[in-house]
Amino acid sequence: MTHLLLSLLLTIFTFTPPVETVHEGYHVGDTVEDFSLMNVDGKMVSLADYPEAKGFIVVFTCNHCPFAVMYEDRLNDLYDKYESQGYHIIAINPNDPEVKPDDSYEAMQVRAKEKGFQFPYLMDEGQKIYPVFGATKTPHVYLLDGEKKVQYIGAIDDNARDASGVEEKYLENAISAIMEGKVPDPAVTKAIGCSIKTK
Amino acid sequence: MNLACSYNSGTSTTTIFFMKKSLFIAGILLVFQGFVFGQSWDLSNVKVANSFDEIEEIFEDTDGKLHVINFWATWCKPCVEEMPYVQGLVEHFSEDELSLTLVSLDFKKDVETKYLSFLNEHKLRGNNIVLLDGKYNDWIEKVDDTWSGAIPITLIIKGNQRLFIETSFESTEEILEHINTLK
Repeated sequence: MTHLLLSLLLTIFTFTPPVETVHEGYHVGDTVEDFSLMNVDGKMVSLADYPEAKGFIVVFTCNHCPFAVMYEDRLNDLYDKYESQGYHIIAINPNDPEVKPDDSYEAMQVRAKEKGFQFPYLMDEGQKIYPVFGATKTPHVYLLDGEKKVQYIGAIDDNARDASGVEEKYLENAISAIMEGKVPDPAVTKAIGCSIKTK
Repeated sequence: MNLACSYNSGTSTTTIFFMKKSLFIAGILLVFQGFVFGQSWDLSNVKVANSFDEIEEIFEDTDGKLHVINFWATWCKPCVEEMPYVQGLVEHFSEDELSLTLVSLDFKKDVETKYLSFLNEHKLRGNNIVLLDGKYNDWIEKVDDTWSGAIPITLIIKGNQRLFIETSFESTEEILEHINTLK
C-alpha cells in the first residue's frame, strides 16, 4: 500500500512542472540587436560604431565581483591580442548601482582608469540590455561574429583563480574557430559568478 | 530534541567535550548547551573538497531525510544576506527530519581565515563543505542542468523529488513554502 501510494505521489510529482529559473535571452545562433550604452568616457557606444568588426566579445562584468576582478587583467590581454584583429571587447556592467554602490558609473570610471581599460566599459543604464542577452552573472561572455550572430556563451577560460593554471581557453578557442570558419566547440560553458544585482 | 546537538556532530573535540559534559549536566541543560557553547568550526569538522566527485553523494537522498543544500560564499553578498533564513530551517525540523548542507565556493586562500571566521562568528549550523574545484564547467550541470553558475542557489531533495532554486530567499517561510510543495 505504501509503495502504491508512493508511486502515485511520484507520478503526480513527475507531471508537476519543475520549479526552475527560465533564462530568456540569446542562444548560440541568435543575432544580437544593437544597443547604445554610455561608456566611462561619457560617450555612447553601439556595435554599429564598428562597421569593420569581425566580431565582438561582449562581456558582462563589474567592479565588485571577485570573479569579475580576477578576469580584469585577462580582459586587457584579450584586448591587446584581438582588438587589432577586428574582435572588439565591449564590457557592460549590468548591476543596479543603488543595490551595489561599488558598481556605480563613477566607480566604473575609477576602475577603468586604474586597470587601464582601453575597451569600452558601459553602464547598462536602467538594466535593459542584460536581460535581452539573458546574462545572469558576472563575468558572462557572449562572443559575436561580424554578423552579430552569437557564436559562444559562457566563461573566458577554465581557471578563474589562476590565469597561469588555465587548461582550456574557451573564449580564445571560440575566436580561433570563427576565424577558421568553424563552429566553436564547446559553444556554451558554465562558470561560477556573482548574480546580477537588481532591486 | 536537542537541535543544536544534531548540528554539532562532527568528530571534533567539541563532541568529546560535549559527551563528557553530558555526564554531569542534567538533560534539560543539554538543550541549552549548543546555545551556550555554539559550534566551533575548524578544519577537523569542515569538509574541504578539492574535487566535485568528493561531494557528489550529498545530492542523493539515502536516509529519507529532507535534504537542503545551499551553495554560497563569504564573498557573495546575497548569499550572506539569505544565510539567516537558511539557518532558520533548523528551528523547524528535528535532526531526524532535516539534513542541511552548506557548500561554500570560497577561495582556498580564504578558507582558514574569512571562511572559518564567518562560520564561527555566525555559529552556522549544518554540514559545512568548501568546494575548491575550479573546473566549474565540468560540474555545474551535475548539480542542475539549468544552473547558470550564479550563486546563491538552493537544492531541496526528498527521495526522488528535487527542487532547484536559483534566487535568494528573503525569509525562512519562503524556503518552507518550497519545501511544502514536496510530497
